[in-house]
Amino acid sequence: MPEILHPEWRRHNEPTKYPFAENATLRSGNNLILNELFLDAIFYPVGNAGNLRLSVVEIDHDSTTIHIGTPTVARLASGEFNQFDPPSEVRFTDSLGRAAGVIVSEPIRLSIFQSWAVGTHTFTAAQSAFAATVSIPSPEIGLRGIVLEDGTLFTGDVWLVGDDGVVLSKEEVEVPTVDCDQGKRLTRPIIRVDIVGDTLFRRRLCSPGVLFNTPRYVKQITFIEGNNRFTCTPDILGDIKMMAGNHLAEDTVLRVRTTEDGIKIESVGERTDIG
Amino acid sequence: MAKPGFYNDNRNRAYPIVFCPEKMLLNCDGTLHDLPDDVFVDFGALMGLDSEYVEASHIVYLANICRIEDVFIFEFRSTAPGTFGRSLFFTRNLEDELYVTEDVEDAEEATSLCSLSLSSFSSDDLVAGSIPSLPSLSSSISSEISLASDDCPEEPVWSGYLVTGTMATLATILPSGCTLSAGTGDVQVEPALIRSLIGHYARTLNLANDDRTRADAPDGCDPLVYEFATGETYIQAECLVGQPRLKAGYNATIFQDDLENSITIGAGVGAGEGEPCEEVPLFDEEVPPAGRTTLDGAERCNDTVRSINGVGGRILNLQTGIGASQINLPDLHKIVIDVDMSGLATCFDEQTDGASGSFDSC
Repeated sequence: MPEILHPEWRRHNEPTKYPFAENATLRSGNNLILNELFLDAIFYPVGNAGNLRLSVVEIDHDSTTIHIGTPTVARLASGEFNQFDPPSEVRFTDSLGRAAGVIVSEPIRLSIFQSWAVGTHTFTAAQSAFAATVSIPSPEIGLRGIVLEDGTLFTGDVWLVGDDGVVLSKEEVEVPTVDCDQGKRLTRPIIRVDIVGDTLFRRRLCSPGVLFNTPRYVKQITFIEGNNRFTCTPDILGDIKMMAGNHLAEDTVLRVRTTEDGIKIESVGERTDIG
Repeated sequence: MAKPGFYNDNRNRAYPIVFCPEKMLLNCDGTLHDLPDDVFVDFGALMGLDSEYVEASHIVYLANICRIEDVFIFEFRSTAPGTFGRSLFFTRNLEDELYVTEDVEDAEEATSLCSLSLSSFSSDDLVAGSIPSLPSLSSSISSEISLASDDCPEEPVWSGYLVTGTMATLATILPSGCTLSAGTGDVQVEPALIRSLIGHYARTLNLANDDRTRADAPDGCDPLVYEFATGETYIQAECLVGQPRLKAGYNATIFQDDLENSITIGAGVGAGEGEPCEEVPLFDEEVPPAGRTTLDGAERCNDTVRSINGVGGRILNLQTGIGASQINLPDLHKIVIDVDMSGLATCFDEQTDGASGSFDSC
């Protein structure tokens, strides 16, 4: 029988343990990972410092979930597929949904998980360590992302948007370098957070605008006496003073007085309706 | 004697291409050809944050190989949406040694070296051998990319490397001036050679503010006129990189928990830099609308009559008592108060001019 000297990549890997390490036993209890189960793989989960292994296989009634992990984190990322309609490639993501790699196989090969018992099957590093070449170290350095309390992850170009009375702005600040003797200073950006409120928030709550009619405030009062006009605007407190009399007639009978619910203008003197 | 080794093995198999017989069409005679095994020996691609690449859903594939004289140009594409119109171009010379490695970043297909090269040079040029050298071809693309860059750090949508074997076999099936083309996915790169950076890091921080609630003019009054579009999200700063810091401004608190690796931003009256003495603009050019003094266009407290003689409220009652009468003309915004001394004993019959007040509300 002729021997194929240089088989194709996937055919070449089929009888080997690749993408697992050569010294991996590929056995955990009654569960055996066959050499030909996976043909190729690459993993690059965030936080991977190397020594990745297939750590857990969870068999459900209709799905299979494969977890990969490190010696310190057993479930660093996972890939799930339908047992009864397995794919040719299994995509792996971490708990935050970040891309973590892919396993290359074939549906007929992955369907073997149907024969595994329902439950959780764990593997040690000695049993299922991956070859170093398929495990790309991705240390968590720098700002990897921003996670909200509800677990939402923001990566890439992250926008911080001030709203409802929160105003964000950028300032610059000079900070000394590590070598202070040199006197060099670096300019670093500062994100300033001002919480000043939204003055007209009630109007926003009444949106759409049909629910809110802008009031027509009285802004000034024009007093007209004959041909004389006096326009008065409110003082700093929004108040206008209306008084009876002036410097020409201090003994006027006119009275402007306040009542419980307003202003009353009247005159004083001998009333005709009193006996 | 056998020459075992990864590259040598790969010269004898399709890798890094998924095995695919007779998938490349030669445009010069319309014949289908295999991609010779000894052309590629290794390949890898790094899909950037903007590539929208999803493992097991999108692929990377060889799209074109064109030849001009002794120069071969390889164009790789991806089905990831973010890479649409952006390819990886690698160039090789017929005389190149084994295992030449080249790292490239994506370039627009509009500047495809294949289309550029085949359309830019006449047959006379080809005969005269006046084709630009490879570096000059590459630099023409690089300059176009740099012209398109802005203030943000330039980052490729995707990038990759290619290690090649020999071009000799390829040269026998690809004449100069012709192109070998493959359909989408016909000549696919092994999926495990593609690495995605999507979701792996925060590239930049950007600041913006949503618009504040703005005042409207009352019905019947002229609308407020702003010098800028309202209702927008106003950009404050883009592409903050390095080590940005957070600062508590007016009424703000910032709490950093090193244990939890978390930052909590809160509000407290007088916290941070205290309460502001002036309004804080949403962006540098924000000014009040014409005729108003506040940024949101609302009236200030002292812009409206809130009280008369200290008596305020939503409704102010104005009454006249003995000696004065009142005529209300709401349509004219006018109240006529006539101090006619009615009801009072007077010893003269001189007519008193009526005094009136009109109210302006616009």
